[in-house]
Order: sequence, then structure tokens, then C-alpha cells
Amino acid sequence: MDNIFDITGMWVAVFLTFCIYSFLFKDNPFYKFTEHLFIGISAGYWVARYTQDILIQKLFNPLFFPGNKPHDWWLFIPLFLGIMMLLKLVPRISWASRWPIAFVVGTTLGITIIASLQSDILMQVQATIKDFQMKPYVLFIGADKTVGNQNGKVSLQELDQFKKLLGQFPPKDLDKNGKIGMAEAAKAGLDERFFKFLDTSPPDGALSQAEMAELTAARQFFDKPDFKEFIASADHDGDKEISPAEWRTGHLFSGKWYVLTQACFNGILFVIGVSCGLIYFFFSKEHTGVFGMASRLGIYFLMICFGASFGYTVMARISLLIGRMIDVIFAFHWLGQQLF
Amino acid sequence: MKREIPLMMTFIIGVVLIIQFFVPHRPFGVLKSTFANWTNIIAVFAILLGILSLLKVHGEKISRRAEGWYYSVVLIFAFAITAFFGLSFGLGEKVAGGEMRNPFFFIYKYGFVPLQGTMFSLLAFFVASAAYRAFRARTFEATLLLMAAFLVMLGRVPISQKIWGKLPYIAEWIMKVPNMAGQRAILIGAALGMISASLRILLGLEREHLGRD
Amino acid sequence: MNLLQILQNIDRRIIYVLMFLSVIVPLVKPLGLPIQTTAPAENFYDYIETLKPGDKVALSFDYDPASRPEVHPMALALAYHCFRKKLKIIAPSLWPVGPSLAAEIFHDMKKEFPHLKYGVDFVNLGYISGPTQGVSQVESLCTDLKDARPVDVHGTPYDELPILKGVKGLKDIRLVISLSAGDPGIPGWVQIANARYGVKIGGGATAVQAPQFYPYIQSGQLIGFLGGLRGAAEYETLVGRKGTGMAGMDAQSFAHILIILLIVMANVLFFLEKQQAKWKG
Repeated sequence: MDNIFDITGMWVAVFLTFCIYSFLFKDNPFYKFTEHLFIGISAGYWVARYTQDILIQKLFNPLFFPGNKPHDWWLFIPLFLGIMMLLKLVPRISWASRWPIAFVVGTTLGITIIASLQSDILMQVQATIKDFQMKPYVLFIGADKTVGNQNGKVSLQELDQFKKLLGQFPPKDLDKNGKIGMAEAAKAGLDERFFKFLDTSPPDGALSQAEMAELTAARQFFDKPDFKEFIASADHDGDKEISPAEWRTGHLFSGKWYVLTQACFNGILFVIGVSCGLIYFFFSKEHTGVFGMASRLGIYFLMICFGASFGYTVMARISLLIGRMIDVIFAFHWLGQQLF
Repeated sequence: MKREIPLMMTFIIGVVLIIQFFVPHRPFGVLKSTFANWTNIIAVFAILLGILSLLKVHGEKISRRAEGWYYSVVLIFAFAITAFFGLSFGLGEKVAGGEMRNPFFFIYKYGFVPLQGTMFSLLAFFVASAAYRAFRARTFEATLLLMAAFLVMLGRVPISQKIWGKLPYIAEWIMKVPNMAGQRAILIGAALGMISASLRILLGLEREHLGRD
Repeated sequence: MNLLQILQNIDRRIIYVLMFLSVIVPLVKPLGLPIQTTAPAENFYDYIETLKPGDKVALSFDYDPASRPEVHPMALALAYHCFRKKLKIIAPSLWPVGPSLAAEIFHDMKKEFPHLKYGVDFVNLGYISGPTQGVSQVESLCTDLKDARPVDVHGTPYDELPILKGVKGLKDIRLVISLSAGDPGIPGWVQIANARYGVKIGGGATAVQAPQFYPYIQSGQLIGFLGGLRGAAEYETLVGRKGTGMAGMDAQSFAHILIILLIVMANVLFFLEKQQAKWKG
């Protein structure tokens, strides 16, 4: 950091930081000055930002200075509505601001109703019961490090089994959209549970190119002629099993690790927790009897949820303090280097 | 008619955009992108309205010589300088040979960023003070909340592995199972509430957003 | 006043000083505690590892300077990983301050990867405006990028940017990473880009928001997720690049222990006070 602008700026930032932290001791003129400075700079920033990015680029240029394109005269409507919005400052005609408010509200609601229904209700309900299935125990190299033999590692035998589950992927029968349906996947030997596990974005009964990419990469890895020797060389402690650390340090295939079997216990808890939580929020019926018990259980789940949120909130606030302290320490470290 | 026209506008626009989801072809698809674009532009005027109100309040404070009026001078001066540089010299994101030289970008990097960061970082101190003064395990639910908070706070930092190797897994399990169930219940409940409130607004049953006569 | 009352009414400035020390001392004298990575971060890393050189990735800057200490380190680690894999980065922003933050990231990355060329390896698209929790913004980005943002942040027309050749909308690219501090942000990307167009979404968010995204991780709507400074530290560990995420974790550890001790102490004093009242009464 050699130039005078950055050095000056750094110390201005440190000074302003200490002015704000002085509030912790007591309210004082330095804090008040910095607070008002902050509000003024913020307001100026937003005015400059929005004027440049939206008013000029999306309104005035297409309306008055479109260059080679034709004038978009329809933009007089949002311009007119925008000016009506500013009339809120004039008490006698402040009612005019209702038109632009109505326009914004209508657009916002129209777009978010369906989006919210699809993503926050339908897909969430679907995901809740996704794990509530009794799946037989099969090899899995879990994303959460659970593996087939329950001690956090995978043996060569289990890797062979995993390879069989991949089948002869990718198959040649792709539909015209470049996807593979369940039937084609089964013909190629892909296990049905694997298919359902991958078909998530969106779960439309067909695997897209992006969804298949991980399997293709995995298949290429397992098909290497020296695959077995490669794996054996990664087994540093010689226990005939590969731990997650050995897998990573051996630079073995770093594609996604698949969870084919999930603990049924977690699945049951999901369903109970979500159902009881929703029951708690249903206030049209009195919370008595069995309904009341379910509601109480829902409260317990929500309390754990709020506790976790509180923990993360504390983490977030402290992270902000750490961020500022790092900048302050950097400034003093630089000063120390200049002086000594 | 001062309320009826806005209510009609909300209804027609909302319905058109809901239809657009199922019939994305002309004219609905075009209307959707057009309305979204216009909404962006009107939203900017709403923000300008807020800023003008702010300047009006502080301008009145200066003219009345109210208590602390000199701080309002600082505010208006800072606003004027920042807005002037931003509108005159551009926003300064240009990366040319690794340099960014622009008075607006200087104010952003050494004024706006540290000030905003520091203001929010004050909350770390207030959280510590509030934790000591207010967080009491008076009921079973409060105890459950605090225990979950302890386990998550401990499990998410590296020192937890030195205390007990299983703590990070417990914290992760709390996040992935009971927290997720609770969050999902809140998410679904909030989405249902939002949809019902939206329908009420679209149908004109809720008119609070239009203000009073 | 007895000891119990003195401790219960301790001056808040003493607590502030303790908090300050618990943060500053580990920053000046780090312990270097090892960071264990978790599944959401590892999934994220693993997915990016499957991408090939030349693949295009969108890195959406949906945060502001208030969240910078948490989200910026993850942005740096993710950008580093992408450029190390020779991926190309398209950087839209759903927040007005996003382009400035994106410019800082690319400025820092150019020091580590001097061969990077603007317009070829990365592009700062600029702010895509809109209310509605980012839904309309994301919709326009997914379907018609040129219409959403006809010029980049420097005013260069869409057609003059080689990186955008063949990209009609973000639904044509391999991965969208949203670095989010609120709305608009991850919810908008998940609701529209993933639910409607099947785009793979990865997310990085502040710790305040992190718990609410776990449903999206479990449902597969997010392929990976980084939460708060811890998430940034995990990703820095995975890519092998030291940054402020890792640097801050020691301080985070001690600050958390301080908060826990304060809460425990306060509750012990509360119960002692209740017992005392019982004995007296």
C-alpha cells in the first residue's frame, strides 16, 4: 500500500471506526458527527447509484436517447407514475401517490404468489416426505461422512458395489431435450434409488445434462484400468479401507459422494417436526387434547430452531466485529512497519 | 375514485401476472417483463421520495436552529458531496490495470464501507451485554432454546474439537434435523400466510397500503 | 450490596471490554486451531471440482458492506477456486452495492491470476434492479440476459463481451452462486432459477440467514452452502488459501466461549437469587 490516497483513506476509516466505538463508553459529539456523516454518505450513495443504474440506463436513455433503437414512448407511463409518487410530499395532492403504490403492489404480488407457492410450499412439502422411506441398507459414501460399514470408511468391496450401481452410465438414449428418463436409466443399469436421488433440480422424472454430469465424471473415474491400484495407493494406513481424509489427500475422484441410504430416524423427525410446527401455527382450533399435545411438541421444535438461529445470529454479529478489527489491526501493523 | 382506481389497478395487474405463469405467451409474457421493468423504475422514485423527506426534515432542523442542528449540516453536506461525485464522475468500478481512481469510489471504500460495517459490529457488544442481562432459563422452552444455542455456538467454532470431538457433529445434526424441521414449518406457514394476505390485497379486502383519506 | 447483587449489576462497559479483548487478542496472537469442514461446504467444493475449464459460472453479488466481513471472504475463496479451475465468471448483482464489491474481488484476483482478462475470463454485469424479493430480477436474468443487462458496469454493450457469447440467459450456464445478505438473494434464485429452470444454485450467506436455508439444502435446491465466517473459513480450508475467514475463527471461538460463560453465569446468579429469596421468605 504505497499511494497516498489509500494510506489517507485507511486512516480516515480507522478514525471513523473509533468514533463509532466511542459510543460504547458514552454518547458523545464524535459519535453523533460520525453517525450523521454515515447517513449523509449513504443517502448520497443511493441517489448516485439508482440514478446511474436505473433512471439513466432504464428510463431516460431508452426514452430520450435510444441511439439506433426506436424511442420507447411507453416509458412515459412509469415516468408519470414516478412523479406521482413524489407528490406524496405535497399534502393536498398526496393521494396521487396511491396509483404508483397500487402498481408496485400489484406487480409484486402477481409475481411472488406463484413463485412462493411452488418453491416454499410444494417443493418443501415434497422434500419433507422424501426421506421418510424405509430404504434397504446399501453401500453409500455419505455427504455427511457416513459410509457402508458405519465406521466412517469404505472398503474396496463396497467401492465395487458402488461401481455396479453406476451401471453403464451415461446411456446413449437421450430424449430430444438431452435428458434421460427413468426407463432409459434402468436399461443402462442405473439403480432406481440413485436415479431418484439425483433427480432434484427439478424433480421431473428425467435427468438433465447437469444432473448427469456428476455420474459421468464418477463413471470415468471408476472405469480407469488401474483403478484398483490407484485406490490401494491411497490406503496410507494399510487397513484395506479408505477414510475420507485418505480419499481427499489421495486426490481421488472428487465428485459428489452419494447418500443412498438415509437414517430413517431423521426422516421421521422431519415429518413430525414440520407437522407439529405447522399445527402450532393453526389458530383456528383450540390447542387442547391431542391437537394441543402436537402443538406443544411443535413449540419444542421451534424453540430448538430459534436457539440455533440465536447461535448463528451471535456468530454473525461477532464476525462483523472481527472484520472491523482485522482492518484496524492491518492499519496499525502498517504503521508499525513504517516506524520500525 | 381516489381509492377505487388504485384497487382496480392492483387487481388487474396481479391477475394478469398470475395468468402469465400459466400462459407465458404473448401478450402476458411481454406484459410481465414490461411491468417488472416499470416497477423497478417506480421503486427508484420511492427511494428518492425517502431521501427527499430526510433532507426536508434536516433542512427544517437547520432553519429552526433546533438542538444539534450542526449535525444536520454535516449530513446534508456529506449527502451533497457524495451525490455530486457519484453523478459527475461515475461509480468507479472500472478495473483498468488494477487501479480504481475515482472520488466516489474513495468515499465508498473508505467512508461508506467502514462506517456501515462498524455500525453493525456494535451489535456484537450489545449481544454480549443483553446475553448477560436478559437470557434466563425460566421455563422448559427457554432452557431448550438456550441449550440449542449453546451447542450450536460451541459446535460451529474450531475450539469445540478440543473440548469434545463429537460437538461439531451434534451442532450439525441440530442444524440439519430439528432446526430444519422448525425452519420448514415457519417457511411453509409464512408462505401460506403471505399468499392469503396477497389474495386479500388483490381482491381489495385489505386497503392499508393505500393509506388513509 | 452483597456479592450477588454486585455481579448481577455489573457495569456493561466491563462486558464490552471483555468482548473486545476476546476478539483482539486471538487476532494478534492466533492459535491456529484446525477447522473441520462440514457437508454443505464440501458438497459445494466437490460440485465446482466437477466443472471443466472454460465452463461458465455466475457469481451473484447480493450483499452490502454491512455483511462484507462475513460474505467477502467466501466470495474471494469461491472466485479463487473458479479461476484456479479456469472457469469463467459472470457477475450480476441483485443489490445496488454489489458491482462495487464485485470490482474489489476481481481487483484482488487479478493480483493472483495476472493473466485474467476482463470480458474474456470475467465480467462485472452490474446491478439488475427490481423489487419483489429478486424474483423479477432473477426471472429476467435466467431468460434474457441481454434484456436484463444490455451493457456491463462499464457501459460495454452485451455483444462486445466475448464471455457472454452463446449465453442467452443464466439457465444456459452450469452453476449460479448467490452470495446473499438478505432479499433479494438466495430465495429468489431458488424460487425462480432452480424451481422453474433447473439451474444449479450454490449459496453463501450471513450467519443470521444461514439456518433458514437448511430446508433448501435438504431438498436439493441448493447444491452447497456456506454460512457466515465459519463457512468462509471452511471453504478457504478446502481450496487451501488462507484468508480472513480462517484468521477470524480463533477470535470467533473465544468470543463464543465468552458469551456462553456470561449466559451461564447470569443463570447461576438468577437461581442463587431465587434460592436466597426462598430462604428469606
